[in-house]
Amino acid sequence: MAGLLSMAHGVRVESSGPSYDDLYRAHRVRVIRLCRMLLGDPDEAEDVGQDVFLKLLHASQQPRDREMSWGPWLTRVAVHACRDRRRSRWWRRWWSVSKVLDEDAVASPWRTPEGEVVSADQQRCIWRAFDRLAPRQREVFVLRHIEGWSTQEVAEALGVETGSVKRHLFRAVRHLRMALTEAP
Amino acid sequence: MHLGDRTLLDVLGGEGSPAERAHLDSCVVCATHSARLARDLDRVSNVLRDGPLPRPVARISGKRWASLAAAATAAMLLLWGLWSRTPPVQVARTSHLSLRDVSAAVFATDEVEQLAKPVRSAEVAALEAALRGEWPGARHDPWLGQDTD
Repeated sequence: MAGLLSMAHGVRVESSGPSYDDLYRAHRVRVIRLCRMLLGDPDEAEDVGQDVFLKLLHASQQPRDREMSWGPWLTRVAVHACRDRRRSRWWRRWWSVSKVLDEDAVASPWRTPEGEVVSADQQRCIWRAFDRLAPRQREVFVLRHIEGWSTQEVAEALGVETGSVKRHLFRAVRHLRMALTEAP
Repeated sequence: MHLGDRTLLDVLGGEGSPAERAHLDSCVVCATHSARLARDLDRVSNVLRDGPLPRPVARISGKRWASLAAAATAAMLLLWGLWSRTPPVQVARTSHLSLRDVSAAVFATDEVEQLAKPVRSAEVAALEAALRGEWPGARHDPWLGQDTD
């Protein structure tokens, strides 16, 4: 599939819009990371990411509004693709060996773009707590705080009420903050 | 009355009511909580969005081993239960039959002898007396007619 997608580079999304190539380069890393956060598995994230860009390729050949914002479209497609993957392959994931975070993978402090230093222990605790969140809580937190969507936009994308979004977000934030306090 | 974490989360997201925002501006305690919440959220979001990604390692969890062992035990118990309920195969007895045995079984004369047995005369007399309406054997009973008091 990667070969097919690489062959697709250069396809014009529409006459005056960005090319598929532009969109692929601009959003690939973000979409794969989003899938990684939602699925917790880099291999599956890569697989689902390829599916998402294949859908982008198909969608780009359809007539679209010139002002179409492809970033949110890709995010929505990725979230739904991850959910479909999670539902359809639960037995496979259960049967295959489970994947846990490698404690040594995050071994050094990391400096945020704002200049704040986050210790390796805190990074590990954050990832561990995030991987333990319920799927819906992960989706809500990612869309609200990583993608920066409003509560209304998150509710529309996930097909739930805004009250439900707020409830899931509150629980997710509580768990993640507890992880921060537990970090040495 | 201070704002709770849920309300502070709404206000931080730009979705609080004017009254809640006004309270946050005027209350030092709530402002401190809000600042701490905002700092934690920024830290978590930055790590997840831009931080180094931890790679997962494959491991078979103990829970999975336990469920596999339980399933294997249940299957063994089921097989054992089925095996113990199966009736043992009967081995055909090989005995030699002679023509004499067959003949004795087919032409048994026990019932014929029983039928051919002569009826005793006393029984015939009792039957005839009963047909006449008399008490069978009343004439010959030495105890009848005597005072037994």
